[in-house]
Amino acid sequence: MKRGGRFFRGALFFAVLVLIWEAVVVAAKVPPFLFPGPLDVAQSIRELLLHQELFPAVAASMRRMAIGYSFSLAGGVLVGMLLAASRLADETLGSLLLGLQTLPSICWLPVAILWFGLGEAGILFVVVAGAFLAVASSARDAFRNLPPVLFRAGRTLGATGRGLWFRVALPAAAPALLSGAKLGWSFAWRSLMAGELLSAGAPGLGQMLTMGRELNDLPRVAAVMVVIMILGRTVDRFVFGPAEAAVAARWGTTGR
Amino acid sequence: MLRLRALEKTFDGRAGPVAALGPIDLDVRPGELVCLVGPSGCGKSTLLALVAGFEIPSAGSIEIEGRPPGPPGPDRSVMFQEGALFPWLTARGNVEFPLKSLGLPAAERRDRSTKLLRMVHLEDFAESRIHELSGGMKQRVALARALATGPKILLMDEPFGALDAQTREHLYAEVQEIRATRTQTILFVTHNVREAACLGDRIVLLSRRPGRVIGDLPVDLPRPRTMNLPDIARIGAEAAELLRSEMIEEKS
Repeated sequence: MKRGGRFFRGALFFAVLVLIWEAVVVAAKVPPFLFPGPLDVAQSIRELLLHQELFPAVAASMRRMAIGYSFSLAGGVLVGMLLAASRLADETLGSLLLGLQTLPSICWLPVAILWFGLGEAGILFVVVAGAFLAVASSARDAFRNLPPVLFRAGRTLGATGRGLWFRVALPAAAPALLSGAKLGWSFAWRSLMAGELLSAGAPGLGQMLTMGRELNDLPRVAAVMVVIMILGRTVDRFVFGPAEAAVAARWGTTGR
Repeated sequence: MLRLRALEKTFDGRAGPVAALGPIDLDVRPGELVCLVGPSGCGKSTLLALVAGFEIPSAGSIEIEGRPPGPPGPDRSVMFQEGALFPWLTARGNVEFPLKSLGLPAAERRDRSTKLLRMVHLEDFAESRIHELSGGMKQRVALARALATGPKILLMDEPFGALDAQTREHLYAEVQEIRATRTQTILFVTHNVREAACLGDRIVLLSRRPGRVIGDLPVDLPRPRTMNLPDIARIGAEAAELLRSEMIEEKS
């Protein structure tokens, strides 16, 4: 009942929003190439679907995300762990990573193009450059902020060295690591779009945006933006949502 | 069993070294339950940390069965003030954690954890999450976990400090049962003199920082004991008096 009510409120809000949007566009008589209405956008999405452009682009983008993000996540957590475990690593590698992290990921694009060209590898490089450092530095903090008593308890219970880090620290840091993972996801997503937008050779959602601009087809651009938004929300809802719920159930923290 | 000789611990404070403990000499017989009592900040928790191996002595020596203790390990279990249970595991998962460290197969781990949870009367809560348990139940899980590997020494650092009186009384009974049925030597740190009188075979009193032994009271009372026995109150008062007079001495 409560869940249904929440869904209904959300749906109603968006329905009203779309109606207002359409009403404004009709009333103001703006042409679609300047400000497309919801019907124009829907029409564009339909065309993209009919011409079988949308799904291949979504698949290509999601594939890059899957590769680049999982690498960033696994590598970032491991490097974060190393930085938390070793003072020497933290003082050397750690401060280097912190410096690099201040670079917006788009700044890596020229490097990526020079090293890897305008293709697949270049885009992946930008995704990793964007997400890896964010995950690593938040993972470092997650491990650093663990209460020392957990490590002490782990040691008296026979966990040593790597066991202490993987059997105690890793699960103990899960809630904080999860927010780092979310942050990493949004960094990766932004970097991916930036990379795809600029390296127009590789198929993907970003490339579709660029194409829309070149064709002067604003409804198409808006259609792709809507798709990107929906994808982002979907991942939030069906990947991070359940993960957060699982952590909350174990820790007994009910969100909010 | 446990032998401390001229044991000292000094920490590096902001204004130079701070003597936290000692020098202390102490002998504990096998299977004995010794309560360490002293004012807060007297270094009694530091003493446990040294025996556990979390801290390295600044001077003096620790011997367990004639050998220096080495790094922390399952031969010296610790029960912490806040339990330090692992919230990502169930009650059973927590008890099985040290058994997994030993590399025991799953079936045997399960068997042993079932027995341990029965021992602390939590067999019905084996699959509960830690946050679903009350404070007293949490400390009972911590007790079962600490005993899982059959340690030589059980180090208890004010484990019942955060519990209400009634829950504590239950846990006193459980600790005494463990003392009666198992072979562990137990060092129990508390600042509560009556708690010490109720549980201990001996009460060792420590001075203010840096903690030194200022009294060693045997408690020859039949078990099981409860807090409201007149003898417990008498011995508690005796211990409190010793602590008080030593404070006054120090001030003058």
